[in-house]
Amino acid sequence: MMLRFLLLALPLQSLAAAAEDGHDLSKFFEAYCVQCHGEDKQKGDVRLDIQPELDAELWEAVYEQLAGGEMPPDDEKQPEKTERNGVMKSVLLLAQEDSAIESTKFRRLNKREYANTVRDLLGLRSGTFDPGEYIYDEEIDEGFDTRAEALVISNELLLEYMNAAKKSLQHALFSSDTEKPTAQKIDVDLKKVSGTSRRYINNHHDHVIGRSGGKAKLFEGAQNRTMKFPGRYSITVTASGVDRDFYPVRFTPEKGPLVMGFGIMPDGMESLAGKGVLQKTFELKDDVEQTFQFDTWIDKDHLPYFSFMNGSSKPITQIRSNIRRRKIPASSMGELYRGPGIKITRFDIEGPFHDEWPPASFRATYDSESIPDLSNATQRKDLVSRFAKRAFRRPVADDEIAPYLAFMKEKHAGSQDWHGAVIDTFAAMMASIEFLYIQDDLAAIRQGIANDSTLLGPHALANRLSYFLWSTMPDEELFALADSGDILDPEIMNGQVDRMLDDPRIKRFSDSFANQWLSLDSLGTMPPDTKDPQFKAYHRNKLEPAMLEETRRFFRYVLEENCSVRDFIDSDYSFINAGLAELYDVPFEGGADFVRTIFPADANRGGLLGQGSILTLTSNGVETSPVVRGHWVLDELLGTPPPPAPAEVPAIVPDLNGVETVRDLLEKHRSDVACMECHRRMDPLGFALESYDPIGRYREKYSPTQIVETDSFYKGHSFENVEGLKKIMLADVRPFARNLTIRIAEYAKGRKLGPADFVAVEHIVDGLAGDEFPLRDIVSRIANGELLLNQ
Amino acid sequence: MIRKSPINSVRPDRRAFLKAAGVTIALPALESIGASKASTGAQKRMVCISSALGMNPESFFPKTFEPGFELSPVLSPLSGLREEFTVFSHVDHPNIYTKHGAMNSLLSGIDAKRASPGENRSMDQVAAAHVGYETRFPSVHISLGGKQGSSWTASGIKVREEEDPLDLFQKLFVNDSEAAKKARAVELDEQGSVLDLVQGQAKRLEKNVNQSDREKLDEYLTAIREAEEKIQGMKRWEGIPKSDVDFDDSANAHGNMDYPTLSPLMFDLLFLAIQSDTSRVFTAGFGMHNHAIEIDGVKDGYHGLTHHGNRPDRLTQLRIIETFYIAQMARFIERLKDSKTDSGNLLDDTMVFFGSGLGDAARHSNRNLPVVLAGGGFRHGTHIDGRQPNGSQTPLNNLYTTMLQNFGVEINRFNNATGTFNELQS
Repeated sequence: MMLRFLLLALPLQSLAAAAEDGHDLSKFFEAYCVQCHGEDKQKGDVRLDIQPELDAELWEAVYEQLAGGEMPPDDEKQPEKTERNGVMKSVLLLAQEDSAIESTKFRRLNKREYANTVRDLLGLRSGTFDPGEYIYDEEIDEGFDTRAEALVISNELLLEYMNAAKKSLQHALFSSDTEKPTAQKIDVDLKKVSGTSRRYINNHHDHVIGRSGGKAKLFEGAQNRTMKFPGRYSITVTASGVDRDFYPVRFTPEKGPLVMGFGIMPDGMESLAGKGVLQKTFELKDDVEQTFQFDTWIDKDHLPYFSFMNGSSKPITQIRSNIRRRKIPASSMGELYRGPGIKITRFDIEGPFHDEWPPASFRATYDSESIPDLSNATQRKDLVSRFAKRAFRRPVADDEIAPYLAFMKEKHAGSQDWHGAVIDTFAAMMASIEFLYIQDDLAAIRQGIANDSTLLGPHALANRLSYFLWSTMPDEELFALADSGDILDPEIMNGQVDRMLDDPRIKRFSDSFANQWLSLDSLGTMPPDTKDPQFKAYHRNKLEPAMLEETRRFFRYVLEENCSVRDFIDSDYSFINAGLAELYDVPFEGGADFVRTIFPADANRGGLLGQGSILTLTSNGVETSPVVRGHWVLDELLGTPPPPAPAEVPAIVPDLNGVETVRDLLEKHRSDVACMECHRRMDPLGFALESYDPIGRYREKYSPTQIVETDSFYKGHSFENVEGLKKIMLADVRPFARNLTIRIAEYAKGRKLGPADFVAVEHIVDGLAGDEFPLRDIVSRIANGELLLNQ
Repeated sequence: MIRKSPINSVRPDRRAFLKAAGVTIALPALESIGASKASTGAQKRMVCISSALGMNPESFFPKTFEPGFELSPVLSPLSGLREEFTVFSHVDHPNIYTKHGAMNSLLSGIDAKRASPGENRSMDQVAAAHVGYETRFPSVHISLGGKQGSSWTASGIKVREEEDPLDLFQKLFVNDSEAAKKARAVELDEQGSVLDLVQGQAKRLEKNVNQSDREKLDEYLTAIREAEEKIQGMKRWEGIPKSDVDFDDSANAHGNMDYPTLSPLMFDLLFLAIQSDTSRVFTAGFGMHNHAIEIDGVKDGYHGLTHHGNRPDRLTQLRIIETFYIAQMARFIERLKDSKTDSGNLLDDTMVFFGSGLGDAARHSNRNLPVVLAGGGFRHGTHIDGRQPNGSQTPLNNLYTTMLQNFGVEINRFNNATGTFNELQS
C-alpha cells in the first residue's frame, strides 16, 4: 500500500506562487551549477543540465544542498537569498510530486517512554521504583531514540518487558486485601545494623557507627528488613558525628560538619553495593546528638538506609598515606580503624501510612475510586475493559478483550486467586504489541478497514502529541478529548499544546531532545584521566554533571521563554555554578547551585559553542581535534555533515614529541584536492574552537612557544576567532533554524523527513522569520500543524 | 558531493535472512542430557578474547615469518607454548573503516551501525545457535574491565556481559534454593502462556498492514518465537543440578580496574565452565575506558595511553598492559593444556582466539589486525602472512569460517570470507 501525501492547501499555494514568480530553474542551474554538474563535468555524479531526466530523489538532494547552504560551494558565485529560497522551494515541489514515504504504523516505546508510561498507567509516581531498571539500554546509532526503524525488538527485550510488567504490577497492586495494611513500628536493632563495607561498621548494643563514605550504606540487618507494603513511612533517627580528632591528623572531611544521607534502596544481593536513591541529607553536630523525624515513601521490597556523604570512600588509604608521611604511627595500620564516623543511637521505622485508601496505584490501575469485587464476573469484565483501553491507548472492542478474559479465568482455575489472576492478565496485556508500540489507527486495521487517509485519527493524534511533549501516555484530559473527537478541532488542539508546553513534564522533551541533538550522552565516554594534573578540576569540581546540567537548563530556558534560536549560536548568558565559573574564568557569587549568569563582554563564552559540555565531548580527554569539533558543528548544529572519509585515509598520529601543533599537521594535508573538498568545510570551524582545551578552558597558547591560531574562513568570509565565526553564523540564522525545526520534527514523527514534510518545515520557518525563530513557537507549530497530523 | 537521502528504505526481509543463514536454536534431545556431564572430548569449544583498543603494532607483530620466528615483546608470555598457537599478520575486515565500527564489528566484519537487525550477528552467536541448549548456557560473555561490544545476536542486539566474578559464579555453578527453583519453574510456565496469548493477538494484524508494518510485526513475532524457544531450553535444564566445581568464592577484585585479580578469576571461571560443559561458546573482552589499570608500572589512563604520540613513557605503560593481556591468555591456555581428556587435553578441543578490531589504535586504523589463535586441534607454531598477491589483506572472516567449521557448523563462507585457512588443518 503506497501512501501518498495530502498537502494542506496553504503551503502548496505559497510554493506554487514562488515558482510562478519566474524562478526559472534552468536559468538558475545555468548560472550557478552546470559548470561542475553539466556536460563537461559531473561532480558527485550529478548533472543538472538535462532536466527531464532528473528524478524525485535528485530533486530532494538539490533542495537539501541549497537549503543547507552547501551548494554552490562557498568559493563560487552565490545566488541572492530570495533567489535561492525561491528555487529551493520550486525544486522541493517537484521532488514531492514523485515521492511517497512508506512509514510504519508501529513504533516501539523506547526505554524512557516505557518507564514513564508504566508509572502513569499504574499510578506509581510516588516512590523510587523504576520500571525501566529491568530494561537494557537501547543502542541507537543514528537519529533519535524515537525512530521507529531503529527501535527493534528482540527475545531478550521481550522477556525483560514481561518481567518489568509483572514486577510493576506487584508494586502497584501490592495487596489483595481491601483493607488498609496496619502500620507497624520497628525499633531497628542497632547491634545488628549491617551494611556494605562491613569493616568500617562498629556495632554496640545501643549504637552503631559507620565510618566509610562513598557508596557505603548502613541498614537493618534482620532477614525481613524490606517493607512488605509500599506507603508513607515515618523515620526517626538520632545521630551525631564522632571521632573527628581521634588521630593526630584530621581525616576526611577535614572541615565542616559530617553529613549524613538517607536513602531508599531495593533489596537483593546484587544491589547491596550499587543501587540506592538518596532522599535527604542532614548536617550532624560533633559529639552532640540530634533527633530527626521525617516522612518518606518506601516502595515494596525496598528498605531505608543511611550513608556518610562526605566520608572517605576508602578510609584505609588515609591511614596509609599518613603513615607514609609519618604523621601517625605505623601501628595504626593493624588497629581498629577509628576515623570520623556517623554514630546512630536510634533508628525507628513506622508505617505504612496511607493518607488515602484505596491508594493512588490501586485507583489508577483499576481506574476506579473503589476496589472492584473480583469475584463478580461483570466487575471483572469492566475492569479488564477499562485497563485495556488505557493500556492500548485507544477504544477497545469486546472481541479484543475476550481472549484476555479467558486467560484470566484459566489462571484463576489453577490458583483460586483472582487478585493474582488480574496481575497476570494485566502483565500479559503489557507484553502485547498494542502496549509496547505506539500504533497509528490500529483499530482500523483490526476491523479490516483499508485506511487510505494519511491523517491520524483522534487517539493516534493524542498519543503522538503526548509522546512528543511528555514522553508518556495521554493523561485523562487529553484522553477525554480523543474519546470525544474534539482533539481534532484546531483550537482545542492548540489549547492542549499550550497546556503541555507549560507543564513541568515538558522537561522530558527538552532534556531528551537536547541530549540527543547535541550528543550530550557521549560526554563522559572519554573523560580526562583522573590522574592528569592538567585536568584535575574536571573531577575535583564534578564538572561533568555540571556541564550537562548547564546545557540542559540552557535549552529549557530558550524553550520556556520562547527565545530566538539565535541564542544557541551566541548568547550573553548561560546557567553556571561555581565549578563552571572557575572553568570559564568568570566572576560568580554563588555555590553549587545553578544561576542564570550574564557573561562579561570579553568572556569568550556564549551560545552552545562556549559551553563545556560541547567542547569536552568533542575532545578525547587528551587532546583537541579541529576535525572532530568542526564535524560536530557541521553535523549536529547545522545539519550538513560531510560524507564519511574515503576508504583508506590514515588518521593523523600527532607526534607529541615534536613542536608541531595539530593545525600545522592538518595544514600539511591540505594540498590534496580530494581531501580538501570536505576538510575546507570542517577544519575552519574546528580551528576557531582551538581556543578551548579538551575540557573547554579558554587558552591562547598550547605551550610557552606555540600560540593557538584561530583565524580562518567560513562561507566566504574571514574571521579572527570564535567570536568572529559566530558573527558570520548570525548573519543568516535561517539554515540553523531550519535544521533545528527538522530535527524536532524527526523526533516527534519517529522517522526521517521527506519532501512533503519539508514543505511544512519551510512554511513554519518562513512564518517565524520575522520573529527570529523563537523556539517555543517552533515546537508549537510543529505540534499543531500537518507534520503531526499526517503520518 | 551530493548527499543522497533514501526515500524508500528497503530492509532485507529478516526472516528470510535468518532462514538462509540456517539459524535456529537447537533443542537438546532428552537422552543426551545426563546428570553428570564429563567433557566428552569430541565437542569443540571456542573462546574469543578481545582488546577494544587494539595492540600497538610495533611491539605486537613478530618481525619475520620463518619457522622458529622470534616472538615479539608483547607475545613473550607465550614462549613456553610455541607449538600451541599461531600469529596472523595482514588480516582485516575489508569493509570496516571506523574506530567505533572496530569494536562492534570484530566478530562479524560488519559495522553494527550500518547493519539491519541481525545482519551483523557475530560468529560466536552462530556457534552458540549450533549448540543451543545442549549445554545449560548457549554462550557466556564476560567483561574484563571497561566497555566492549563485539558480540551481536541474531535478533540485532549487543549481548549483555557479566562484570562481576561472584555474580558469574552464582549464575554458572550455584544452585537455586528449592523455593527459588519452584518459583522459577512457575515463572517459565507463565511466560510461555503469556507469549502464546500475545502471539495470537498479534497474528490477527497480519492481513491489513503495509510493507513497513509487516517488518515490524515480523520482528515482534520473531521475538516471541525465539523467547519461546529460550524458555523451552531453560525448562529442560530446570531439574538438572549445576556442576560442582572447585572455586574459592571468597576472593574478589575490589573494582573493575583491578585487572591482576579480576582477569585470573574470570578466566578460571571460564575454564571451569569448559571443563564442566556448562557452555561451549565464550567471549571475554578487555574493554575501552580511560582509567588507570591497576597493574604495576601503569599510572595513566588507558585510552590516553593508546594515543601515545610516540612518547617513550606512554609506550612503556602500553606495553605492560598489552603483555598482561597475552599473559592472561597464556595462563588460560596452560590450564586447558594441563587438563587431560580421553583423547588428549582440553586445549585440543578449545579454540582460543585473541584479536582486536583496531589495527593501530593510535591512528584508528582498521588494517592489519592483531590476531592470535590457539588450540582447537589445529596445526600451530607459525606466523602466517595474510598478504594477497594483489596487495590486499586476507579477510579475518576466513579465519572465522575455519573456526566455525572446526566447531561443527556447516558453513561455506561466514559473511564476506573468501576462503578458509587451510594451513591450520593438520
